[in-house]
Amino acid sequence: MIQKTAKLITFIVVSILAVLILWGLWAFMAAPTRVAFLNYQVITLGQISKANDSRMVRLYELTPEEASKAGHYDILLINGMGLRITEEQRAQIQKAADRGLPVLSTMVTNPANDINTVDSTLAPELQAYLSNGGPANYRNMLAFIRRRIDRKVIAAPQPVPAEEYTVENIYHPSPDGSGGEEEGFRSIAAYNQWLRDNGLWKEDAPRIIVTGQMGDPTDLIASLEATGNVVYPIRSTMPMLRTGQLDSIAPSAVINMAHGRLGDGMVRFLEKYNIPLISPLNVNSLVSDWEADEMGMAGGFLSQSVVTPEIDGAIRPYVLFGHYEDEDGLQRLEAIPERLQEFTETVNRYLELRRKPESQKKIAIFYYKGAGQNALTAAGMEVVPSLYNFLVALRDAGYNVDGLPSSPEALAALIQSRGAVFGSYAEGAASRFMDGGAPEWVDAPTFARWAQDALPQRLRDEVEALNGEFPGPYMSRDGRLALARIELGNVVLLPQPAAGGGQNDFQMVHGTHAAPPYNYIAAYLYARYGFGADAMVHFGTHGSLEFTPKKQVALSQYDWPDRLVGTVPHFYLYTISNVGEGVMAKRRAYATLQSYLTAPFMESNVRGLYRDLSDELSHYEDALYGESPDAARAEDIALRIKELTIEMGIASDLGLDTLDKGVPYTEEEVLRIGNFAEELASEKVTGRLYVMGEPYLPAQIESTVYAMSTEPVAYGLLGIDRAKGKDVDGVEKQLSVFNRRYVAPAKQIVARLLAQGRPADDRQLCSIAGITPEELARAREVAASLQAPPDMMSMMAQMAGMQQLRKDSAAGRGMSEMMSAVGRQMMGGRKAQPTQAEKDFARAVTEMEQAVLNVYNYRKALLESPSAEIGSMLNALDGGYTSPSPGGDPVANPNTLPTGRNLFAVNAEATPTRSAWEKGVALAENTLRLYRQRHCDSLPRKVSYTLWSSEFIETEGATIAQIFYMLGVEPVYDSFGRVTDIRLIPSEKLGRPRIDVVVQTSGQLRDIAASRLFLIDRAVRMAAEAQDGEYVNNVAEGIRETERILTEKGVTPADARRMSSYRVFGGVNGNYGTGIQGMVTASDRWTSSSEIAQVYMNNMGAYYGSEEGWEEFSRYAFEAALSRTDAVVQPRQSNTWGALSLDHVYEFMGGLNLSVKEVTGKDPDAYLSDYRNRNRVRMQELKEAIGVESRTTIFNPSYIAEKLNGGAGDAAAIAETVTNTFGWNVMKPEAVDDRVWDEIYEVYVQDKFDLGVHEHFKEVNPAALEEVTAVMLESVRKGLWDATPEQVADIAEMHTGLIEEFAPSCSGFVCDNPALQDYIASALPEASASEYRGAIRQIREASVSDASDGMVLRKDRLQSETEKETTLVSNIAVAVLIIALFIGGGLLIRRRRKSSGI
Amino acid sequence: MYSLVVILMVLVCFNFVLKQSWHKWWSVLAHAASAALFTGLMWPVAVRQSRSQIEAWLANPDLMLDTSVVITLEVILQISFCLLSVHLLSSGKLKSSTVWGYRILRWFPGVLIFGVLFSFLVYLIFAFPGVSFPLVAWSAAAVVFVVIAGGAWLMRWIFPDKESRLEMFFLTNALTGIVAVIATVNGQTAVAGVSEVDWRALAGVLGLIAAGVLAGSFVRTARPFRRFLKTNNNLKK
Repeated sequence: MIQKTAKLITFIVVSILAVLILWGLWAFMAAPTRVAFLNYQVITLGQISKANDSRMVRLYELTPEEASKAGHYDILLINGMGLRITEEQRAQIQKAADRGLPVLSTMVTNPANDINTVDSTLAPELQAYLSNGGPANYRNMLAFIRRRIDRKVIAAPQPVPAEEYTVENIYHPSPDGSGGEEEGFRSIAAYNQWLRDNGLWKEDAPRIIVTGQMGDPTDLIASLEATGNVVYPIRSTMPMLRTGQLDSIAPSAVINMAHGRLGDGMVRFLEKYNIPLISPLNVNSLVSDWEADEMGMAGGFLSQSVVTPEIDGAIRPYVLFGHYEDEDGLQRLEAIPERLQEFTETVNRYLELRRKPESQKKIAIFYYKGAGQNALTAAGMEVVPSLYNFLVALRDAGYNVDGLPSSPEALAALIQSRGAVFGSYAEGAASRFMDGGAPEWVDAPTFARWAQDALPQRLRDEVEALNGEFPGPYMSRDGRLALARIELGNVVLLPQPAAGGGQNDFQMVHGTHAAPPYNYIAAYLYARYGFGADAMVHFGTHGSLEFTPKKQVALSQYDWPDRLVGTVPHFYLYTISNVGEGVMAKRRAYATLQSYLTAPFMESNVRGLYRDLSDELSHYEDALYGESPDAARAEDIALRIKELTIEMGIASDLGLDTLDKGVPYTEEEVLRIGNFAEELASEKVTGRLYVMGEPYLPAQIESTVYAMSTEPVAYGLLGIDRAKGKDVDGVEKQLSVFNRRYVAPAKQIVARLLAQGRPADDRQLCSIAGITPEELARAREVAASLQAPPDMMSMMAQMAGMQQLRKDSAAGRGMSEMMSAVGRQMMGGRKAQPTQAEKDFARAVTEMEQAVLNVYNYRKALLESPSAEIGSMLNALDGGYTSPSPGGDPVANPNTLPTGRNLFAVNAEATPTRSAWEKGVALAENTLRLYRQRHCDSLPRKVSYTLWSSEFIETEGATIAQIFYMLGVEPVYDSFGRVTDIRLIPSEKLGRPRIDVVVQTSGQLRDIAASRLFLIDRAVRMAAEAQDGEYVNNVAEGIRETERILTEKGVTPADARRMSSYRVFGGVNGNYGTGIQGMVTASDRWTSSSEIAQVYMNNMGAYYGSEEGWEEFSRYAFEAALSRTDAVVQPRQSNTWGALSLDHVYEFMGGLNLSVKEVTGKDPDAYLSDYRNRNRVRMQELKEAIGVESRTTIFNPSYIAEKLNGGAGDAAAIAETVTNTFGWNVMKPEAVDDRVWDEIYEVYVQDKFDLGVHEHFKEVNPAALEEVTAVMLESVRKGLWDATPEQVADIAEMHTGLIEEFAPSCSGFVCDNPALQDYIASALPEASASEYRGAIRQIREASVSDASDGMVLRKDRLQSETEKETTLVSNIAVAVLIIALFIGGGLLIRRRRKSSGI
Repeated sequence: MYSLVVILMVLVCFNFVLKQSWHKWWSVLAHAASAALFTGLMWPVAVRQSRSQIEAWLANPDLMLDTSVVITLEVILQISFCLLSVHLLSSGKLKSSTVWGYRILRWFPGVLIFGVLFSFLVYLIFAFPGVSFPLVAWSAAAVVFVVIAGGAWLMRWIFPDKESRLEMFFLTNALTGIVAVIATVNGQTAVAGVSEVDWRALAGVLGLIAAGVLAGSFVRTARPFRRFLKTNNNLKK
C-alpha cells in the first residue's frame, strides 16, 4: 500500500516537473513574441501589421495611459516624435525597462523620453529596419525581434538585413496612376525634363510646391496637374532653401501638409516670391470619426497642424486628408475625394487672383452694421471712411468700382438707405426697405440651385427644420428673399445679416448650434454664385461667420463656415488688438487676416481736474516726510483728503467711504488715494477711432509713441538702478514717487529721441542708461545666451521630414540618432551659465536698449502702417503673401507693428510659459493679499476665473498660471519649454491652504487651447487628492460640498461624484457668447436679476474639462461648482478696452458675479488681472477700475473733445459705454453708484463742459444719443438710478425730441422695449406722448411678440428641477419618536401582563 | 408624506427585528448576514438614485398603490403568522399543513425590509458626500448586521414572553397596514401640507395617544389576545 502511494506521489511529482519543464521550454524557445508600440502613427502600425506574416509575433498598441502594462511585453518600440506622457507614465516605462524590458526609442524630441535598453549592438540594426520602412523591412524587423531580441528558436526565421531605400527629395508619383513606384530626382532641371518627357509640362502654367509629411499627396498632385498646374513635390524644403535650389522653381504657391513650422527661411522665401502658403490638414483619424467629432482637432496635434504653421503665414487650414478603413480593418491615409476637388478649386482660385486683371475681378465686401440707423461698427475703426478709402484704393488699382459715391458721407447715406439691417421687431422699417431699398430678390429655384451646390442635404434639412420653407419669415415677400446689397461695378457691399434667427435675437452675435436663417445663408451664396465673387472680404473686427456652427477647427462639410466660404479666397480686416478672435476667423472661416491699427493713444489729461486733491496729497507727503514732519498737520490734511475724496466719489470707488467722516485716513489709505490719482493722470486712453488708410495726426503719433515707450524706458531705468544695487525698494508701490523718479525723466528721453528723427546709437544708449560701452557689450552677450534655442520644434520637424530622404546619405542614415543626440545635448551640453546678477543686469539693459531704439521704429511703423494695410490688402487680392505677425495692442505688444499682416496665436502646449508662470504666481499672491486686506486676514475658499483667448495668447497663459498656483500645482516643463504635465507644490512650500477654483472659458479660448483646459481639470483633481496635514484642503472640501449640493438638486450620487470635480465650464452647444447681453438690454423682459443669473448658469453650463465629457451639459454642475466662491477674476490685457467700454466684460465677469451671488447669497469680491503693463502686472478691484475708466473717458472733457472730432463710430462708442454701464448696474449694482448716472446726465444731457455734445451727435450719429437717453431712462425705470423728476423730464424731452427730429434709430432700447416706451410716454404731455408712440409704431408696424423664453439656449435639462420644503422636525426625530413609543408601549404591555399574571 | 414613509419604514424595521426574536440564533445571524450583504452589495444601484427620482416615485399614485398592495400582502402574511401562532399555542394537535404553514410564515422575514435597507443605504450615500461609496455601503452593512442581531436579542431581553411579542407584532403590523393606506392615498387629497409644526396640536395629539394608552391598559377587554390567552390558560388549568 505504501509502495503504491509512493509510486503515485512520484508519478505526480514527475508529471508536474515534466509539465514545468515543457512549459519552460515553450516559454523560452517558442512562445509568441509580444511587440508593443507606443505613439506610432496608425498608418505605420497598419503597414507593420500587414507585413507581419508570423503567427508567433503579436503586435500591440500601447497608449500612454497603459504605461504600467509595459512590462507585459517582450519589447517596446517608442516613437518619440510628439510623444506626450506624464512623469508618472514615463517612470512606469523606465521601471519596466530597468527590469529588463528591451525598449527602443526613435525620433526622440524630448530628451526625457529617450529610453533605450535594447542591446547597443542590436539597436542600429533594428533602427535601420524602422527608418527604411517598407513591407520587407518590417517583416524582417519582426523576425529580427523574435530571433535576436526575444531569442526564440522555434518559428523564428533568420532575418534578412535591412534593405536601404534611396529616397530623393524631389519626387513624383507614378504618372500613370497605377500606384507603381514613384520617380526620384536630384535636381529641378532633371525633374522638369521628366515632366516634359511625360507630358506633364505646361509652359507658363502656375508652379506649385507640394511639401510636408502629414498627407499622401498622390491624389492632390494629380488633381492640381489635371487643372493646369505644374507641381513640384518636395519632401523637405529646408535643404533646398539652403542651397537655393528652391529659387529655380519660381513658384506661384506652396502647399504644405504641415507638422510644425517650415521656419523663418521659408517666410523669407514666401515674401521674396510673394506667394501664398496653403496648409491643408490631415485629421489623423477615420473620416467618419472626425465628421462626428465636436472638436475637430485638439492638443499637440492641433498645435503642430494649425498653430505653428500659422507662424509661417499659412492660410486655409482646410481638412484634406483622413483615414479610411480597409476590409481587413487596417487604416489607410487618403485625400477625402469631395474635399480634394474643392481644395484644388480653392488653390486655383488663389492662383487665378494672380492672373486675372484687376478690372475684371469681382470682390464681395461684408460689413457689420447696427440695426436701423445705427452706425457701421468695427473694433477701433471708423468704418465708413475706412471703407471709402479702401474702395478708392481699389479703384486706383484698376478695379471697377463704378458708382462709388463722391465722399464718405455720401457712401454712408447710400449704406443707410440701401445697405441696412433691421431687428426682427422692426417689421415696418424692413417692409419700407423692401419697397424702396432696391434689394436683390432671391427666389426659391435660385436659392435651391445654390444650396444644392454648396450645402449637403443634412444642412439643408436643418435650415428647413428651423426656419420653415424658403424664404422664411424674415425680409421676405411673395416667396422671395430680399437681400440688402450695394453694387459698385465689380464690387458689392453687403451688410452681414444676423446669424441668429427670427425672433431669437439674443443668440445672434456669437452663434449657436442652430443653423443660420435663410437670409444669412443667401447673402453668402449670392456673393459666391449670384455675384460670382473672385474674393470675399470681411471689413473690420468682427462679424459672425466664424462663430456659426459647429466644429471648433478642422471643419467638415457639415460645418457652416466651411460651406459658406466655399472655395472663394477670403480676407478679413482685423484689429491687431484682438488676436484671440482673429485666429477663429483664420481657422474657422479660412480667412487671411489683414491687421489694422487701433485708435491712437493719448494721455488722459485729467490731472487738472484733480488738482485740489493732488495738492493735498503733496502737502500730506510734506507733512509726513518733509523737512519738518508734523503728525498733527498730516492728520488734518488726511481729513481734508477724506472730505475731498468723498465729495468726488473717489472714496466710493476705492471702498474707503466710511460713515465716520471725522476719522482721518491712515497713511496706507492716503497712499491708495495717491496711487489712484496718479493712475488717473497717467492712464492711457484711446482717441478718436482709426480710419484705415489715413495715418494718425502728428500729435497722435507722438502721444502713441509716448504711450508705447515711456514706461518701458522708465522701467528700464529702474531695472538698471536695481541691478546696480541702488535703493529702489518700495518705489513701485508709490506711483507718485515712481512717476517723479523714473516716468518724468523717461518722458524727457522719449521727447529727445522723437525730436532727433533718427534711431538712437550705442553712445546715446550708454548715456541714457548710465552704463559704459563695456557694460553694454557684456549685457548683450549675456542676453544672447539667455535666448531660447531657435525654434527647436521646427528644426526637429524638418529633421523628421529629412529622415525620409536619401537614406543612402550619412544625413539620412543617422537622422534618428541625431535627433536623439540633439535632445541629449539640450539636456546636458550647455555652457556655463551667467550669474543671476549678470542676468538681471542684462535683462534691464536689453529692455532699456529695446525701449530706446524703438522710439524711432515705433514712429516709423505708425506712419507707414496705414499705407501698408491698404497695400497688403491689395497684394492679397492679387494672390500675394501676407506676412505673419503676433497680436496685441501696440502699447502692450509693439511687435504687432507695422500692421497689414496676418495675425498668429501662441502655441498653447507651451503655456503657461515660464514668464507667464512668474506673472501668474505674483498675481495670485496679489489676489490673496487684497482679499486678506478686505476680509480680516482670511483667505478665499474658491476663486472663479474667466479665460479669454486674446489674454491667453498675449500673456502666454498667465491666468492659467494663476489658477494652477491657487490650486497649489505647478507646471512641469520639458526641454522645449512645453508644459505636458503638472505636479503638486508641497504644502509646506505653498505655505497656505490650497484654494479651489472655477473656470469659465470663452468659446474662443476653448477652441484654441482645449489641452490647457484638460490640464486645469487634472490640476483640480490632483489638488483635491493632496494630503496637506497642516492646512485645510479647500479643493477637497469644495468637491465634497459640490457633491452634496448636486445630490440635493436631484442628481444621482454616481453622477454627482463624477460632476463634483468639474471646474471648467463654457457655453452650451459649442456657443461662443453667454446669451446674456441681449437679455440684459432687453430689460422689459425680466423683472429680477436672478432670472439673468439662472439663464447665465444655463447657457454657460457645459463642461469642457476633458475630451470624454466635452461639451457635456450639466447645469447643476456649474451652479454647484460656484458654491463657496468668494472672488471672481477677469483678465485685462489690452489698453484698448476696459470694464466699461467692452460689453463682454459685464457679460462674462458680471454674469459670473451675478451667478455666484445667486448661488452663495453674497456678492463676491471682483478683481481684474491687469496685464497691460508687462512690468507691473497687478490685480485691481472692479469698482476701482470702473472709477478709473469712467473718470478718464466718458467724464473726461479731453477725451470727449477728442471723440467729438471723430465720426459716427466714436459717438456709437460713447453710447456703448453708457449701455455697458447699465449692464454693470444690473449685474453688480455695487459697482455703479448713482453718482455715475448723475455725471452721465450732466455731461451728455446738460453738456456741462460746453463741448457742443448735442450738436455733434445730431450731426454724425443721432441714433447714438437716442440710445444714451433711452438707456438712462431705462435705468430710472428699472430702479437702478434714483433720478430726480427734473432729470427724468429733461432726458425724456431730449429723447423724444431726437425721435421727432430724426425718427427712431432703431435699436432694442429705443424701439423694442414697450415698457420703456410707456414710461417715457408717461413722462410727457399727452400730445407729445401720442406723437412719440406714433413714431415708434411706424417703425414696428406690427407689434413684436415677446420671446423671453428664447433667452434660454436650447438644451434639454439633465434632471427635472426639484423643489423641496424643509420641515422643522427631522426624519430622525420621527423615527426615534416611533421607536420610543413602541418600546414604551411594549413595556407597558409587559408590565400589564405581569400584573395580570398571564 | 415623507414623514409617513419614514414611520412606515421604522415600523417595517421594528417588525423585522421583532420577528427575529422567534428565530434561533443561527437563523437570526443568517438573516442579519443576508440583510447586511444586500446592503453592502447594493451600492452600485443606490448611487444611481436621485432625490428627484425618489420624490417622483413618492408622488406617483399608481406606484404607491402598487406598493400598498405589497405592504398589504406582507401585513396579511405577518398577521396570519400571529393568528397561527396563537392557534398553535391554544390548540392541541394540528394538521401538518397548518404546522408547515406556521413554519413557513415564521421563517418568512418579509420583503419590505429590503426596500427599507435600500432606502437607508441611499440616505447614507446622500448624507456622506465625498466618502467612498463601497465604504459607506459596507459600513452600513455592518451596522445593519449588528442592529438586526442585537435587536433580536434586545427584543427577547426586553420582552422575554412570546405572548407580549406576539401581541406587539400583531399591533405593529396592523399599524403598518393603516399607515400604508394613509401613505398611499397621499397625492389624491387636496389638502395643502404645512411646513411648520403646530406644537400645540402635536402636544394635543400626543396627549390623546397617552390617554388612550393609559385607558387601554386598564380596560382588559380592549385586548383580545390577553383575554384569549387568559381564557386559554384557565382552560389548561
